[in-house]
Amino acid sequence: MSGLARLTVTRAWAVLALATLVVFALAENDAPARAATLAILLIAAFKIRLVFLHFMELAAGAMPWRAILEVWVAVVTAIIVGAYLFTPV
Amino acid sequence: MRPSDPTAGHADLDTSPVTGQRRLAGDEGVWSFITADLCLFAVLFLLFMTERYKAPALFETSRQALDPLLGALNTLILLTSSWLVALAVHRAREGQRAAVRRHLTLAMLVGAGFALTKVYEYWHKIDAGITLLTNDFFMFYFALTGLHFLHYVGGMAVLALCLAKTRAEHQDARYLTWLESGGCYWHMVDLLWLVLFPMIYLLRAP
Amino acid sequence: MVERLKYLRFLTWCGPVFLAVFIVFWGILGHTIPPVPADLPAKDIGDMFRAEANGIRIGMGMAMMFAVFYLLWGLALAKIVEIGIEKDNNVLSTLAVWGAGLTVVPLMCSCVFWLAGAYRPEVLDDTILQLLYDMGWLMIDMCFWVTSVQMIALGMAFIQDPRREPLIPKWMAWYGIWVGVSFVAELLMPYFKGGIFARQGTLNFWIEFFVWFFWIVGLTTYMVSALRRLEAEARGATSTERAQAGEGVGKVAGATL
Repeated sequence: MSGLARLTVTRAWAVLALATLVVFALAENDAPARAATLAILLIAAFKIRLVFLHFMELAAGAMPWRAILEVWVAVVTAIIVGAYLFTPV
Repeated sequence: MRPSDPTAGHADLDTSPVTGQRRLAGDEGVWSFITADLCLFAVLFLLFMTERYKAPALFETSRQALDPLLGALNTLILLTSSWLVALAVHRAREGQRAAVRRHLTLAMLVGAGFALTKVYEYWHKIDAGITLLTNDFFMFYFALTGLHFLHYVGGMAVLALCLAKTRAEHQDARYLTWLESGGCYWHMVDLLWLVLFPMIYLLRAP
Repeated sequence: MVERLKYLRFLTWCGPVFLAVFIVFWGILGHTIPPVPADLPAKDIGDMFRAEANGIRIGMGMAMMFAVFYLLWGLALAKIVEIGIEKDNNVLSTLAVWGAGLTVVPLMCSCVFWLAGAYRPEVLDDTILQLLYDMGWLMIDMCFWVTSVQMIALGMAFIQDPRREPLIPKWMAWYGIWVGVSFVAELLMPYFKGGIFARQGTLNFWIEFFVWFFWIVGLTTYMVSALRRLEAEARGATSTERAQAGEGVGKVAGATL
């Protein structure tokens, strides 16, 4: 049981580390800036969810905290993505 | 924010090892603190994006003075340190005190790398004549990362305290709540950086 | 036992009174809510003092009189901790009293600077009036740590409450600690005349002051119910003591109970 739990945590960490490398690869390259930046922001949201689901152990759904974190990541992503898209070039 | 269920604070007192069903890791009160902190940072993110909206060219040229490699390195450092703390919590539930100590020590050693990188980065900027008074972008850069750095320092202190408790205390439910709460705080430091890094370093103007 | 809780109900209500007077007199009449922006030219601040001198005199005078109500309220909080939670160690309740008392000092002193500006603004230079207005804000904002000590000490005490349902809920305890710690953002205030960290800024005024105001209001509502519970506990303890004593004395004493 606990060994399995540790495996989940380690798997989450591996995905997070890999996602960080992907983000870094997307950061400064020739890909269209807008698409690359949007991808980076969505990956960030995905990473944040991994952290609170598996590191902070909200995956089991302890309420209201899981709902708070889900809303938080949605709002923060919406703010950043929205402002990024609407900022005049 | 509604008042928490008064009995929930003591739910951690029943010592039954985690069954994984809807049990909150850590103390409810600490989670209120984390929520308040996350809300404050969300407002700061909004203010940053508002100022960026007003001066996109300034934010873009200033951003290019930052080194994304250092930001990515710090992301990896915090993620790894968080991972080690999460493992320590699981080990504590299994009652493996030596493994908890080992994981916490490693988490602090890896975590210390964040401070090294950050101090190097700040020093480099100040050396180049860039301070929080340079322009609006660098005001946010220093203020947001500085505020986050204070959280980080607090987190390292909490980890040290958890390590001391692991050495000294009998591993009861109270101790476990301490460790879980400290761990969740440390994960929050990690989580905030996951927003700060892309928002400050990587928002490339099209 | 109930004797120890005397006056506390009165002291509790001093908190909301302090807040109401401060918002109306210090804030609105005294021209500090919203703060006059730090990036305005000195002439604007000079003109403000000359045009509003009487309002500022009344506002600051009343604010100084009622500032001490924060100490009265803070004493009630510390007593709830001392009587209701602490056992053989009164460090936290003592810190809470000192924190509340010391908070009064910058509140009063900053009012004096604004009052000094309003005393004879017609003969003072604009830059001197600007300096006085700045000094008021620097004093009230930069002395944040005395209040943080009060908030953190109280928070630490509340979370140690062993009751199944704590006198002050845990979220409120941690919220206070968070507000106390979040005041460190004021450290950035002296560097800025505009933006979110300036004295009129979103973070350093609108957020930091209002999270503190909310703490005062929220805590007061819980203090009222905490006092009621402490009184009930004290009465319960007294009647058991009497009942036990009564058995020893005999039937007559027992019958009077």
